[in-house]
Amino acid sequence: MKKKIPTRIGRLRLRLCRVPGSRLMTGLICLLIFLIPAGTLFANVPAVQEVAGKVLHAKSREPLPGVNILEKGTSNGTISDANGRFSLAVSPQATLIFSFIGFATREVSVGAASEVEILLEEDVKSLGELTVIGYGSQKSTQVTSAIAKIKASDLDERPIGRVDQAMAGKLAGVQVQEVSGAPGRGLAVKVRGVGSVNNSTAPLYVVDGFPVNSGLDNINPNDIESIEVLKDAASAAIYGSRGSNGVVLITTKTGKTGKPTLQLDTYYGVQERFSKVDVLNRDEYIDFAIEERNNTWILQGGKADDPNSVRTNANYWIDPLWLTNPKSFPDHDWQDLISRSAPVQNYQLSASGANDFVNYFVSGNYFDQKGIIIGSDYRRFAFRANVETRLGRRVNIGLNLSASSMDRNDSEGDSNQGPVSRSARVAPIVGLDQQTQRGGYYPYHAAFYLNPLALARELTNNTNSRNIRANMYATVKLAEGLKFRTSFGGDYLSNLTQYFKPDNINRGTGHVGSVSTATRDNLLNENTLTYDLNRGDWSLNALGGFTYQQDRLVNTSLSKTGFPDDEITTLNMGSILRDGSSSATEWTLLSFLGRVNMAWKDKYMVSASIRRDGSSRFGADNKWGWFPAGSIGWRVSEEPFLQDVNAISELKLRASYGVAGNNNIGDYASIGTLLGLNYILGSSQSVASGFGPGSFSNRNLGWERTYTFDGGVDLGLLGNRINLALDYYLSDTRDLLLNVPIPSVSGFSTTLMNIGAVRNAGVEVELSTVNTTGALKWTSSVNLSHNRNKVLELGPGGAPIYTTGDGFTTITKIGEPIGSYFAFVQDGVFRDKNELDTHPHYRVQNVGDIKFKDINNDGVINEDDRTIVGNNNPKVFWGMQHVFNYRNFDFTVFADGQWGNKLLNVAVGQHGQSRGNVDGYWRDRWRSPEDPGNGWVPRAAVTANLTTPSTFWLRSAAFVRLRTISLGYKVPVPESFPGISSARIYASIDNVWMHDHYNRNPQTGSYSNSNTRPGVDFDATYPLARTYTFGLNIKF
Amino acid sequence: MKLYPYACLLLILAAAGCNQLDLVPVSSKSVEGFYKTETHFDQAAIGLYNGLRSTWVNSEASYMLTEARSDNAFQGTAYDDGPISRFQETSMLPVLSSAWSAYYAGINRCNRIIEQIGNIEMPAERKSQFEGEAKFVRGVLYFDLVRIFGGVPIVTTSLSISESQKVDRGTDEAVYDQIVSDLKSASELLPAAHNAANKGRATSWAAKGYLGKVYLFRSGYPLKKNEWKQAADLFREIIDSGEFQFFDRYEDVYSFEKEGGKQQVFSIQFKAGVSGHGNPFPTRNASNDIVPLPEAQGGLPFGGSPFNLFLSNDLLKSFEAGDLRKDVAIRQSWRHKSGEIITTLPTCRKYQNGPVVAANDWDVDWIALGYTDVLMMYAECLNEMGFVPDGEAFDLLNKVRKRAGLKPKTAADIPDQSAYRLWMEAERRHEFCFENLRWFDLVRTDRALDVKKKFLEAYGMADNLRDRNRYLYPIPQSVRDVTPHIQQNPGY
Repeated sequence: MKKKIPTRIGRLRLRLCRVPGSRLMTGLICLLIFLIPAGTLFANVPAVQEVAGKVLHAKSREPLPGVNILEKGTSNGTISDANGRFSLAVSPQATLIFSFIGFATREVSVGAASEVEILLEEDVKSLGELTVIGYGSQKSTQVTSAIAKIKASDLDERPIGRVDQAMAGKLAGVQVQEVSGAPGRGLAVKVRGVGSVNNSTAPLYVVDGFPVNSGLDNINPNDIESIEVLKDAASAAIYGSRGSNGVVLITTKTGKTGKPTLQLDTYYGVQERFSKVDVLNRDEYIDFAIEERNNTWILQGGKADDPNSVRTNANYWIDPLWLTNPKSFPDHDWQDLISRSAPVQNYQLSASGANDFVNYFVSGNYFDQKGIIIGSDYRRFAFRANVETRLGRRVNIGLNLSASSMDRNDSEGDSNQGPVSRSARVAPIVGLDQQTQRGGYYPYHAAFYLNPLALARELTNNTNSRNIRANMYATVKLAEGLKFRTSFGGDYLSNLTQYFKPDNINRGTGHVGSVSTATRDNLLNENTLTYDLNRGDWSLNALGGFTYQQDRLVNTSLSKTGFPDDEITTLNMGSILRDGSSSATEWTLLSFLGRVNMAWKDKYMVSASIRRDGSSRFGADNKWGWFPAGSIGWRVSEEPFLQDVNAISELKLRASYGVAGNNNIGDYASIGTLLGLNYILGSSQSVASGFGPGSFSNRNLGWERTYTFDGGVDLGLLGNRINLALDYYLSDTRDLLLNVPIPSVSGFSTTLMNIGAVRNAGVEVELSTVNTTGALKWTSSVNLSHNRNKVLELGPGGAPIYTTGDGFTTITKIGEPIGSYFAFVQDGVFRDKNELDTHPHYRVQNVGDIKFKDINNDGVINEDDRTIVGNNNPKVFWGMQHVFNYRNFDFTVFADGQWGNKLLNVAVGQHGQSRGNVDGYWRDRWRSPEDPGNGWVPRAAVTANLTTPSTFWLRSAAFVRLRTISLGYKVPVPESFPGISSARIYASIDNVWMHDHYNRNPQTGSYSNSNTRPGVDFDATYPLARTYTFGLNIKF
Repeated sequence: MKLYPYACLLLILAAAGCNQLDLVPVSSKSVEGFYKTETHFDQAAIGLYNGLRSTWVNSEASYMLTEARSDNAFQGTAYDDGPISRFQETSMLPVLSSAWSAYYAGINRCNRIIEQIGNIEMPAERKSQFEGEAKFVRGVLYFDLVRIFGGVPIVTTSLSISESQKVDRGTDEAVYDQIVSDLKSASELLPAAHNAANKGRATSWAAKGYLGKVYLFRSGYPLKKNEWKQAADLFREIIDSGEFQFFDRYEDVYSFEKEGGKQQVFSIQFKAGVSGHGNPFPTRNASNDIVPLPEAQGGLPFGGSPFNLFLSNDLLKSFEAGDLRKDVAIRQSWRHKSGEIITTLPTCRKYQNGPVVAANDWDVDWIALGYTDVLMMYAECLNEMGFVPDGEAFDLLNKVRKRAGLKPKTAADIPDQSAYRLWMEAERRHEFCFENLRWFDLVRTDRALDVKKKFLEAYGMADNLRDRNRYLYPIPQSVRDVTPHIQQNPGY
């Protein structure tokens, strides 16, 4: 019993020592502290009752170690041990106070009981008590800007390989587009729509305060404590010229006060192919091919019964066996052949703890995912150490260190010449070894549709990335409430890609090998002063500081041919150097920042921030920019007039306005480049190298600016059982970076300028409810986002920007969303001669061809009849989660979806050609006026109808998906396993069910997903997987 | 206070950061990092010749704004030179704006050299050479501009965007003053000859030749300054230098074997088989339908192009019988792709000799200022300074006629100064056809209105040309879109 007393003294001393501002006071109070306990001990001589017991988590019934237990009105106390147990000698009829961070404090009158069981409830309010914001944190109740948040506990129920996957469907206003299902491939994250025409709209990722440039690959999701997304300019403007696309703050775990914890998290899963393209089988294909080849030959002036000998091109030839013995051909499902059921496994071991002097979290992780397409996989080793130690009374020093190694094999699943594309295009009748150099080519088939199996198996395309990120910091308490923090860190990334394509899948052009590397060094120094003041009803938090960050990227590449064979694939075997190059690029950023958060009575809140960024990327006369923001909040629920309204437990009104920038303008966009202007000189007439200015140095070139207004309501009803957050925003990006005409007397006709504007306006709803309590606890959360994107201004004259590729045009036009699809509108097909004669044609058309709409009603179909036919921005996207808890069981259902947007498959322009297999929709084609099909698919013939871009190329990108179901069970740990404090097992299924219109790949963008050309597929999106997972979490 | 040293440290760090914000590209040459060394200036000067090459030979504007406007050709309507031949062009014509941009791009390169060269240490003769080259090129570019568009904006420094938006037109006179000043200065700065490695760069002779030519033009329409003497003195200096030679055979002037020789004062250099450095002139000026075979078989290696000059009957008829120049300059009969021999569609034949590696990739150099031109301009000056029957001016022109296989003319044929002018006009037309000189000659002698009106009459289009406003082209619409204060030329 006695041994507990020193502990108590230590704790108290610690707490009190922080209070005084001067040395003298410190000394005095420390002296007092030594005196007080001694006095208490002498005073506590009378009647003593021994109370023992156990403190448990009310929900999970896990023991809670480290809970403060204090006899009310005294300084007599103790803390619970590793098993949550405690014992304390108290005076009779004493009341004990149990307090623990994150839990509601309980007062329990022990009466005469000598053994008590205390259940502590997690404090709903204090659970989200702190919200991480830029360069600090803030009481959640006082947050006045739009910040979306995910906690570690939200990430537990399903296996997550990457951070962006963790955000998918979880946050209002954050669109995570699954452009591809390839292992290790990044997803497209957009916060509140697209605010740029030419520049990246990826948010800024900040890991433990370090703005990272090395991507998300190397962040181990198992280490994450919370993810905060700063959505409005008021919260993001503190990141200045990098804030306009939103900022994702990733906070990794730290040690928690109490007993050291050792945790093992592991899961094993099996992935099955989820997405699959509907294509024709053998009999359907042969039927189609004969029809198509005859029709097309007739278009060349031939007759259907002409033999191959008079057909001028192999594209019109018909394999005699198709007619005589079609069953002699195999009926391969190439998509199945290149797919496999693939394991995914994850092992994470972490240790953490904290005491008065050290706080630590260390972890090691191994993640291994085999791809569902042969030849693809992803593996990651990741290590982390977050350590902070206290030196003396004023100084804390810490280090965040992570190291990771990622290996990715990619058989080019997302390439439009890769195995995924070819598995949908190679005809089912092609032999398993055909369509390769060794196996020969099926003569009635396009030679360039190579064997998908060979492509998947024989290509080497391995990328190894290594990342070390270290950030060391020190905090110095200068005076009461005044803290100085300085940090210095580096983020080092190196990528090595080794590529080898053997001749067998290179159509006889020989073996090709290449190696490329990318090395990135990023250094960061940050210095901030924070001042916290709580006086009476006032609380004030002020921040000021400056930061410096620099980045250097070096790329090299080498490519060789002339390999003797494909046995050794490293470049030493190649004899002909095809290409060799290296290049480097750099940027630096120097920033000053400041912020003041003020609150009165936790009721009225005002916040203002400003950042001044100086960037090497900006023009010489525009190096520095200001990024101000301000927000206000009013917690109406704290007003007296709402105190009696029991239904309303929380009501906060928020409004914010701010300016943030997008500096993704390229490292040297402001600097004029030199043009090679060689000339022939000398008696021997040889090339002399000359140069001249090739583009304008725009000394004024700067960032794109986003001005965002955000208005929001946070409403809590029925004791916060229902929480609703509603946000409306209007976000105008101005000074878009566009290429515009300038007077050519300057020497140049166009230059990059900051001109033009685009608007994103939208509504976000986040609703979370506790539906039932008691034995069965049911909680739900729903998020829903709507965004409307509109171009407000473009360059001089406002001329639209057309982006054309693979025959399809997208348009960026004032009044319309960026990158709208621009094409003819299909108006069915010409069902019969009469229809053909009464409707205008586009060039030469026949019965059965696509009918285009005469948009301008001028009786002619020409380029003027093209119109905007949709875009890739969803009108609404949403996510919904239900969690059920019953005794030791938990059950989670998670669904997501979107609607109102389109996607584009540019390969449709080449569809309908029987040189390879075609999609299943061709079953419903027009065959004759009597058999017109579904009225949408034209006849089988290669005509300009398909190559003319029309709505026939577009599909709806809407979908509804049952994303995850997961069942967990907390295994009661018998006392006989004293080491284990808790254990949970769970099973989950990811991608359970989907309703969509595009082969269960409705978020594709694997071919192009740029702002001006988004959501484009080329028959080649790596399929999504359904994953069955079994997992185990054990805490020691 | 203990914080003081820390504060100082932070300030030092911050100051260090400030300097770090001025980065230049690591892996590509940038304007910011250029013009810093002697080598840079050499490279910049070499870049100027690349610009001249594209402006004078490679670009469509080179012949569309010159030969296609003259009475030597009458172009089809497929391309921009159709309206130019017909005097139907508007300010929207794309070739006008591309020419305008190309000329000013070249001028900008010159301005940067002249602006920056003072900042760098280098041997004096190198410095004066580079500056001389820049002034030479700027002079000849403005000389073209003033003849194409009239009083254009005079830009002699590198401009910011906002400065460029304020620039206004200069007068004809001011532009010519600038040209004279640049070429005068170039003739002093440039060396008389270059070493073997630098052969082909502009010499003081080239600058003097062009300066004389500028005086000659300034003495004609529209400024009509009497500067024949200044011109004549410069030409005389060139003639007396002994550096140049009047070749005995007309065809030798244009032959690959003799390229870069004494027949030329300044040439554009080409080399076949080095990507992008071949001469496109020979291919471009052959018929698109000529069979791609050696000349001996009636074709032309690698064929022709649709951009060829469609020679006017007026030109063909104007040659005197026995003029040797006609067969050298004009391909009268050629083999069509179909095998047929075509004799009704003659095309330009100049420079179609020497090595050729691909279409538009010929080795032969292109003469920008020929010695014959200098001689003839000198003769013209003499005539303008005072008509002397059978004097030196007669001798010089008869030398040219003799080489062309024609009988000399005497005072009996050419009784006075104005008769001599017409004689000169005719000889220049035949001597320099397809060399982009004719149209400007007609304008400076103010003969263009009469000659072209009569020419267009044959096509029923005489009304298209009403007045001298058409001596200049319209200012491109794209220029007036971005800088509306730039006045359009009268008549457009």
